[in-house]
Amino acid sequence: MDFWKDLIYFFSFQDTNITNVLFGTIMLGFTCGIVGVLVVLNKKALIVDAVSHSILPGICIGFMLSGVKSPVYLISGGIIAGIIAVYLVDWISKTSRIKKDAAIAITLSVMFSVGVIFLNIIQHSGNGNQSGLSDFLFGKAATIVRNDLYVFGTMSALVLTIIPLFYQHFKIALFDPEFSKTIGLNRQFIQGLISGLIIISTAIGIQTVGIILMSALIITPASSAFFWTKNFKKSILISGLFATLSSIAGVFISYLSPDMPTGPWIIVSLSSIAIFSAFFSPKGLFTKHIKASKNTKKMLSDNVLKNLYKIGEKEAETTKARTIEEILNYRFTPLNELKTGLRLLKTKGLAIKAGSLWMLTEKGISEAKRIIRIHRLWELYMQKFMQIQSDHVHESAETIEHIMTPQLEAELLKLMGKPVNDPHQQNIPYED
Amino acid sequence: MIKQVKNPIVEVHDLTVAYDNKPVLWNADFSIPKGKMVGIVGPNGAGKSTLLKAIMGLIPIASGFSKILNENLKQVRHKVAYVPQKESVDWDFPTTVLDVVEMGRYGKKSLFKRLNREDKQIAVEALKKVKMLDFADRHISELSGGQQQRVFIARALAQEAEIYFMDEPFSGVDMASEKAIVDILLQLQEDGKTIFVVHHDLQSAMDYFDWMIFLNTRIVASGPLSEVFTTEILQNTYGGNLSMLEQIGQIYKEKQFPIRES
Amino acid sequence: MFDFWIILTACIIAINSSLLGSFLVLKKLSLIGDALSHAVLPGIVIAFLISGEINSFWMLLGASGFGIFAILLIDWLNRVGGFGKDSSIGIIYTLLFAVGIILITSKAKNADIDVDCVLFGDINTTPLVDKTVGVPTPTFNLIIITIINLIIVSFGLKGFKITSFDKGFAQTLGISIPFWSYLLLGLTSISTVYSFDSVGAIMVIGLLVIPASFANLITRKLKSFLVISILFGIISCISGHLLAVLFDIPTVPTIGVFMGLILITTLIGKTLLPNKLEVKA
Repeated sequence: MDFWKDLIYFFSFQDTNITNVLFGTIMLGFTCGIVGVLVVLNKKALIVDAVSHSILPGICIGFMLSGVKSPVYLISGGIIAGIIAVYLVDWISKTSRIKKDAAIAITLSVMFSVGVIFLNIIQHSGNGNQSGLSDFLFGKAATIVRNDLYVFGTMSALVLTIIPLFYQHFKIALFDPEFSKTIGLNRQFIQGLISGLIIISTAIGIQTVGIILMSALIITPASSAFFWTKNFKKSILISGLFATLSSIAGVFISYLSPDMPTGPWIIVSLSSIAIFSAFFSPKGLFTKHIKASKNTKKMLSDNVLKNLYKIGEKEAETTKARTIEEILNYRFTPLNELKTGLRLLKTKGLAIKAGSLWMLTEKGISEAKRIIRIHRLWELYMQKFMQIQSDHVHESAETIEHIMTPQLEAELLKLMGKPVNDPHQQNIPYED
Repeated sequence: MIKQVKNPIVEVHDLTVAYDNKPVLWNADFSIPKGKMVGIVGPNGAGKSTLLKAIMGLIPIASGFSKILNENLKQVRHKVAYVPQKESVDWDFPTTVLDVVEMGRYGKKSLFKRLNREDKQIAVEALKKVKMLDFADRHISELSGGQQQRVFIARALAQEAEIYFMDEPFSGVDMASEKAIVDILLQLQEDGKTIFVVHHDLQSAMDYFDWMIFLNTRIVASGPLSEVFTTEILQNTYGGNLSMLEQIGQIYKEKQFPIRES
Repeated sequence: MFDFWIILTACIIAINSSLLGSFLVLKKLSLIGDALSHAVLPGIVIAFLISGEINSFWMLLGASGFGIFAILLIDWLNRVGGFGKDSSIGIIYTLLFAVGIILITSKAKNADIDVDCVLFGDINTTPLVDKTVGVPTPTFNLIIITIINLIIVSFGLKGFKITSFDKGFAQTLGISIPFWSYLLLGLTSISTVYSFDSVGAIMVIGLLVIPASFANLITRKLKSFLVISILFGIISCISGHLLAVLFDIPTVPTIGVFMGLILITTLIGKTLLPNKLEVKA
């Protein structure tokens, strides 16, 4: 039961090292997750990649100038390099035929190359402090100490103040850029602010996941959050929550097994949440699948109901009980489908079974009438109001009868009065 | 009023097209005889381009089918040419005017084979016809809107097709180019080709076309100009209340409900 | 001979990447190239774990399957999963790269594949590795891949061209858009895998995108585009290596910086002198 012991020890916050690391990564994760919502909505997802790669030369220069690995210098250097990167991408794509995506790729590879050369120069300079600079490549959450927390805390606090402060600005600018212009919102200012948030959160976030994987810490939680809500405020919180959970998971996994790197595990956890969301969220694939099978069932039971009614319609005996053979003779349906349909009708209380016979209930009759009424009203509408010939209206009415709402039905009736016959001279059934 | 014809060159049957399961073109059903200059008109967002794209197999269809020369598109691709709307092209792509016209020959044999002399000659001839030979070596972005349109028509000419589908060839085009394009189309018609043109100006439509398709989310009318150019049809096309279709379309989309039962 | 092998290897990679990169840039798929260069990592590590060596030709070919896998995943996430295009790219390549790093640090420790070489490659050790018919094996592999790519591109030029320039028109001719786009991405994925060991993930993307972007600045004809792109790649690799030797800094990033400086200088030159600096033929 080592696992449980470890678990309890880990979350008991007895060990200050673990506490520092955990607090640090949670703080950074939460901050990046929140900024991510703005980034993804602003369609700037991949600029994060250019910024994070560009931070490497900034960090190196920060170190070369100060000679120490103080987070203040390194982060300042990183932020300046980040600003240069954003400008570079903008400038390249604006002054030439080079498209934005290529500009991002150019910026990230060139800036990163500069960084690698600096890193090489530093390593050969013999400065004993240099070891650990390359940790920025993949992040090293485990080295977070109390001092770092103060710096990260300040930066996170800055980000966490700006977002609520400009909440409405962001909301309008991201939702409707054209409208925001008409009410006099300075677009460049907002864009600059978002870029600023990207740069700051990237500069601190690389501490946990590293330069290469940084974009995921910002993009992935936000992209997952949009599966769960359409509300701007909620998506910000959910994104922050996902990033926080993943950060905890990453730290915990590498605590359990020191061989396991924290940063990559944070990313794997984030991606797992994303894929889980794609399947099981209300907008997810699983939900879509359920919807589709619901649609199929609805069609099936409606159609069986219709047939059961129509046999009687001809004989003017809609209430009579029928054998399965009779229903099949009226219109062929695969037997298993017919049985499923009848069972569905029974559970809905639209039909009852007596021995081997099936008959409609009162409710069933009125529902069948409704479906047939809609079908025939729609055919008439198509013919009269849409200039579609009467031999082409049936197919579309076949599916519309399943989805028409009472409100739309009322509108149709209002439009056409209470017509007696459909285009094929069949009687349109009403309740009275 | 939809006039169906015998031995149509193009036949569209119960065609419904949906974007994200919301129908934007309902139950289109018409047929067109050979050798006509057909204008497709209707308000913005009526589904004119959608209709062409569906016939050309560029977008999936929700129901129905279309036949060209009584065959499926696949069998008669080489007899059909399509001039897309300008937005569909990458104007920054490194390619010259002659390059673009030569692309009209790409469908004639395997892409892995080189174009031969005859192909190049056909491309040059096509450029001559649209009076753009002097520009053969220019980059396509260095032309005016009208000139660009002529280049794409030249590409269609190089395809040596029987049927031409053109999506808004007159949009963003100066008067001189419009005239030049109309002349080319008339020449094509004289040669017995059938031409479909998506168009938005009713006034000039009366002069250009001899067959009209009036379209607004569904086909309002299709027939010879004199028979369909009526006040009633115009009102049905441009006026009319489509909120019912809009609302039903929205329900289709929300429920992702199948547009046809099978 | 030592520097010769390094320069040769770099140049072969440059030819290969510039050629395929040209189409990636023209198709606005630069960032898919970026994603590919990271996503193949787990494939390479797994191939290494199975075969125990880094240069096995067939293992690496298998590893490029991860590139295709990544493309399919991105596409699936985008079309079926409902993620935005950029987000799909960002999510998938970071995930696969993270998996690769986890595999290296936990399973392949102490082996001659490590996280540093993942990023920067170790082209400088090329002359020291085993040779195949007198040529260092990675270089030999690259030569074969490059010849195959050159043949495919020269025969398929029309296909790449028309599907990049006017997709809709290509479709009406009955040309399969997925075929040509998967062909391009498949070749890119294979090239990426074989270049990875020499130049690392970041420079793979640099060599794919920067030469093509340079060509994009100075020509508007496809054939000169391809030629200029390849020449730019070759010249950058030679100059980059010589500068690196001169200043005693690593070769691969020096090539990157060299390419960046030339590109930016050209761009400044173009803004100062518009209408100049354009290759007409």
